[in-house]
Amino acid sequence: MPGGIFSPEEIQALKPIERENYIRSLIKNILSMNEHGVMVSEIVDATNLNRITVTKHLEFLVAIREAYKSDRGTGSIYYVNGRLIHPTDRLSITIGNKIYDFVKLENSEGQFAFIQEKEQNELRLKTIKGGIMIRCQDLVDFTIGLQKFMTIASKRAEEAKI
Amino acid sequence: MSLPQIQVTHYSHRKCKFSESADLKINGKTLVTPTFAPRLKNDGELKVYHTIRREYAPRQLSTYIVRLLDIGRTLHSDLKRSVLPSLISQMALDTSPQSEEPLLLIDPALEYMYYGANMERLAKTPFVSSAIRQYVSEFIEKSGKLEEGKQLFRDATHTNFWTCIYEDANKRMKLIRDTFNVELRSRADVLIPPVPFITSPHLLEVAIYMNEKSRAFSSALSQDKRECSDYFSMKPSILRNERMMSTIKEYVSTSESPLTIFKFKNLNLNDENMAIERKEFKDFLIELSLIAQHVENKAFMLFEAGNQVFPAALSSFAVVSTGFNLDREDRRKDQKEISPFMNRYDPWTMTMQSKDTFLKTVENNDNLISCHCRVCKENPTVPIHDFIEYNRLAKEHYLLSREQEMNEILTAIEKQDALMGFEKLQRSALKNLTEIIPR
Repeated sequence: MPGGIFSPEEIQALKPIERENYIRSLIKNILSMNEHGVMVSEIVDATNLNRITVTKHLEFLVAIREAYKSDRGTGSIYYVNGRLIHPTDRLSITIGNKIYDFVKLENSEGQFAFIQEKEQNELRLKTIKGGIMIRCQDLVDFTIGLQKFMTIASKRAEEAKI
Repeated sequence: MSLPQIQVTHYSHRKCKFSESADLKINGKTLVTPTFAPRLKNDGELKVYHTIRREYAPRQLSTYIVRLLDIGRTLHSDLKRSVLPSLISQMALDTSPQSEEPLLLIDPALEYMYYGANMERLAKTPFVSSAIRQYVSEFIEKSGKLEEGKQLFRDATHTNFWTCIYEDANKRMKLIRDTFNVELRSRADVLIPPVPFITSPHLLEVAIYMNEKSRAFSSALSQDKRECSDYFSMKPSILRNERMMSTIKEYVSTSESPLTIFKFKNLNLNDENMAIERKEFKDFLIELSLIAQHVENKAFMLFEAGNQVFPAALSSFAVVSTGFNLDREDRRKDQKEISPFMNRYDPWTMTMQSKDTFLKTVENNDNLISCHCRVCKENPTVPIHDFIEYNRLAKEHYLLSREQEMNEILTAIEKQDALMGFEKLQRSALKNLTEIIPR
């Protein structure tokens, strides 16, 4: 478990947005410290957080591809979504106020290219908006698909002009 | 998945016994250690710092420190005092690339809740949390009425304040939130937690607790959190307390924070009477050096290093900082001082020289300044009648001299000759400090 976990009183003393950020970050930390996965009940026991809150945040992490889950019987085990293969296997590009991070990850299902969309606020702090994972071996097919889509979309745009 | 905001890269060819030069990457900015970080107290000093960086591009001068109580007159000096309170909530920052900018750290400097100097400024600055302003105002009022027992009163009220913060979650969160808010809005690259000035084992316990809670709080600021350091600000006498020092060392070696900042207020280990402290400080340096070399991603900074700048940079500390310590404000305790001319740093003795002593030295050298720094080479004569110009050059000379010292350390490490630092100190007026260098 990470150090300095807040007590229920301290969590109450946080502003709503701070509370959301804190809980999400705490759960992310717990996931990354337990590569073999954790269950909701284990996080609830260790943090005194409400079960519904923990599940909500875990599901959000799954939705933005920071985590993935595998169903086991009646429960689910949550895993951090892979580990960085090498610190240099990453690229960050900025388009407007959006930042796109490209990272090469590895988990039990293979190697993936992970693209994460972030937004930067006036304090230069970033908020994760979403993410997509593509198996490394499928990257070429994915790029061809993307180019096809761009051709279709630009054709439509030209037709609309006419 | 995200990489830590602070990364330390070690190189085998940049290590020599207890000395090391590493690359320290903080918030996208890379420093070559050891680095000297001047503590700037007003916009004049900030201008000098930027001029030096622009004109001489010093590699080991890429960090600066501003105390929380100096933010108004350093970073926002162009704004009228009346607009400062509203500014705190409105300061909007540009999001331009910042990798070329120097690293900025905001020191909460809460030792002035304990020491009298700067207490009045602390009570008035809008950048400090209201709980601290209220404490300081009440302290000034109440202690002013006391005729004796001021020290006891100071210890008791200071301890009470921090005990209250320790026990009350709401007050604690507010203090951390207010401090971090100002640090972030001032574009600080690392968050430094508001911790008590350590004068007793109880306050050490509170400081450790505040470090842990602040670190947890930093993750509440955003999903992509800014790195939070550990911070220990203490009386030099703590060095004599074996139990407290071992608690600190133990905490540092296991803490999740990659960066730990130490401050020993008014420490002068060159003093003849500080033999025990010198021995303890040497052991402390050895311990930190071993932690830095064996624990992944660990770096240490020393604030208000004073005379210890050079030996601390030579062993263990990646970044060392101290104020200019040259002008009248820094020496206001000396009532006899009326000269508007600043003291000048003498790179040979590694101490400050008064104007008269400096002029005598120049006179003996055909009226030319005998210094190899680039500022002195370009301005070999002394502007005796213009104290503004004299002071500006003294500050520029100071920064470049310190950078030169950091550079000498780096070269010595690369040549596997860390003994050079020992010899340099032996030739200086800080001979006693040779005792603190681990060999």
